[in-house]
Amino acid sequence: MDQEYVHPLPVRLWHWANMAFFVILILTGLQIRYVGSVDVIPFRASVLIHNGVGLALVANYAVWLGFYLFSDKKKVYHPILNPMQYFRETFRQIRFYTYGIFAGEPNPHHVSAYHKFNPLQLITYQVIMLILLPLQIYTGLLMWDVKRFPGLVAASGGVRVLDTVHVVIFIVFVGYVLVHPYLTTMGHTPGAHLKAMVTGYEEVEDKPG
Amino acid sequence: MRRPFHLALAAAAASLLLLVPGTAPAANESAGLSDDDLACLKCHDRRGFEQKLADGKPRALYVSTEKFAASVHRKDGCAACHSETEDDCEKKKPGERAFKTRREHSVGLMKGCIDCHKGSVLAYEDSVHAALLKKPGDKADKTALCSDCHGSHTEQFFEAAIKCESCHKESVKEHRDWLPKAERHLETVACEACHAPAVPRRVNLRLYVGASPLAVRAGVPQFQKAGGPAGAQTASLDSRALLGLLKELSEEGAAAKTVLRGRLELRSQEEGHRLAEKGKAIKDCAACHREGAEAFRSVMISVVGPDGKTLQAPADQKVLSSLASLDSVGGFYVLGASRIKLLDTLLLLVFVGGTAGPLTHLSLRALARRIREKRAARERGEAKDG
Repeated sequence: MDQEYVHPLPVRLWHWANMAFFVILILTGLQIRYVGSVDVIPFRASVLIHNGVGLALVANYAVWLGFYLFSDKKKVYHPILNPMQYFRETFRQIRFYTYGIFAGEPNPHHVSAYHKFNPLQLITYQVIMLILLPLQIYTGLLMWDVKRFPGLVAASGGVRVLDTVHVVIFIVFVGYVLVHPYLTTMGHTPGAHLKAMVTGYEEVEDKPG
Repeated sequence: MRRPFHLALAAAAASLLLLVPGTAPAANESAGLSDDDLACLKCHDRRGFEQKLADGKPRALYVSTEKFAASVHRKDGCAACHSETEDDCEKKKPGERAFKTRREHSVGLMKGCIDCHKGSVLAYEDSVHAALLKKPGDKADKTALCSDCHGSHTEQFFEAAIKCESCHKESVKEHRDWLPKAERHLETVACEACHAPAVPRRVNLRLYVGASPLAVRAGVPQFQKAGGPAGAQTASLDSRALLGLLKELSEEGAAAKTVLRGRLELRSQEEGHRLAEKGKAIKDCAACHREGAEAFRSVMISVVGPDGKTLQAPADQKVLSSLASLDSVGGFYVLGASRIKLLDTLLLLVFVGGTAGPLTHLSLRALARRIREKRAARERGEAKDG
C-alpha cells in the first residue's frame, strides 16, 4: 500500500486537542446540567473547568481556522459544486455503509491530500466546523459572561434561547462523539484511520503505474 | 401609640400657612396630607433644618413635603411614629431630650414600627442585625435599624429598601472570591434569598417594558382572566397563558415589547428581615441549580400597580422548564434547575441511538464477515473436491 500525507501536523495537533476539549466540555456540561442527579465533580468546579476549557477550545478553533484559511489544504472543505456528482457520490457512500461494507466491498472513496473527505464526511464537517462549532462558541461566550455582552444577549433572544441553542448543539456533539470513533474503524483495517491521525499518513491502495 | 402635639394649634397654623405665598407647600406636593402633618412640615420642609444633640452632633430634621406625600407613610401621618409635642420640638434643650444621639433616637423610634409592621419586626428580632444590636460595642452601633434601610419619610412600595451593598460595601468583592459570575448572581438573586436560609423562596418574574418595570394605571385584567390575584387559590398561569398575557400587554399601545425579568427572592417579604449570620448563608450551588430545587416550586408574575403596590399572579412552575416559555421567559434561566425537559429526552434518544447504532453496525459487520469467511471456506472446499 502507498502512503499519502493527508493530515498535516497543525491539523493533527488541533484534532487531538479538540478531542480532549470536547470530552471535558461534554462531561462538565453534563455535570452542570444534571447537578443533584449526577454529583461527580462539584458544581462550581464544573463551571470553572467548563469555562476555562471552552476558552481553550476557542483558541484551538482559531488554530484550525488560521491553518485552513492560509493553506491550500482548504480545498478539502470545498463543496462539490456539481449536484449530480454530489448526489451520485453520496449515494455510493451511503450504499457502502449500508450494504457494501457487509458484502466485503472496498470503500468507494479514495483518500488523497486534497480529497480527504467522502461526500458524507464533507457535509458533516462543513456543518460542524463552519456552522455548529462557531454557533456553539458564540452562545458559549455570551453565557460565559452575560453581563459583558448584554446587547448581544438581548439581540439573541435572552439567556434561555442561548442556552437552548447551546444544549441542542451539545446534544448533536454528543451523538457525534459517540459515532465518530466507530467510523474511524471503517478503514482497510480497524486502526488504519486512527494511526493516520497520529502519523499524518493514510495507507491508500497502490497507485497504478 | 402616644398622642401627637397640639392638634388645634397645628391645624390653625397650617391654615394660616396655606394663605402665605411662598411658605406653604404647593397643593399638588401636599396632596393627601392632613392639616396636622402640614403643620409639622411648615418647619421641617426646609433644607438644612437640623438640631444639635447632646453629643454635640447635628441631627437633620428636613422632610420633603413632596416626597412624604408620595410615600406609603403619608396615610399614617407624622404622629403615627413621632410623639413629640410642639413644645418638645421648639423648647427642649439637647440635654433634656430622651435621647442623646441620633442613633438612640432611631433605636427608640424602631419600637413603634411593630405597630404596623409586626411580621417584619418579629423577623428582624430573629436576625443577625438584631442580635448585634443587643451586643455592646462597635457592631451594635453599626448594625442596621429599620430606618437605615427604609426611608421612613420617603418609603414607597416598589424597590423600597436601600440596597444591602450601601453598608456591605465589600459584598461584591467577597462574593467574587468564591461565586462564579458574582455580579450576575447579585443582580438576579435577592441577598435575603441566600442570607435568610430558613425562609422559603420563589421566582418573581417581573413585567418590564424595555428597561423599566411595567407600571399599570389600573389593575391587570389579564391576571384575573388567566390566573387570578395572588393568594387566591385559582389556577395559575401556564406557559401558553403567559405568552398570551405578554402579547396582549405588548399590543396595548406600548412603545416597547413587554418582557419578563426573573429574580430569585423570598416568598414573604416580611421574612426577608430574618437575616442569618454570614456563616449560615446558603453557599451550596446545588441548592438552587439542581432539578426540583425548592426555590423554583413557586413562581409569581408581578407588575407595579396603580398605587405603587406590586400586583401578582401565580404561575405554574412548569413555565420555567417548558419549551413554550422560550420567548416569554427568555430573560430568566438557571443552569440545571430551569432546564427545558424536552431536551433531556432528546439527549437520551441521541445517546441511545449513538450507542446502539454503531454497536448494531459493528455486530452486523462481524456477522457478515463470518458468513463471508464461511462461504469462502465452503467454496474453497468445493473447488478442492471438484
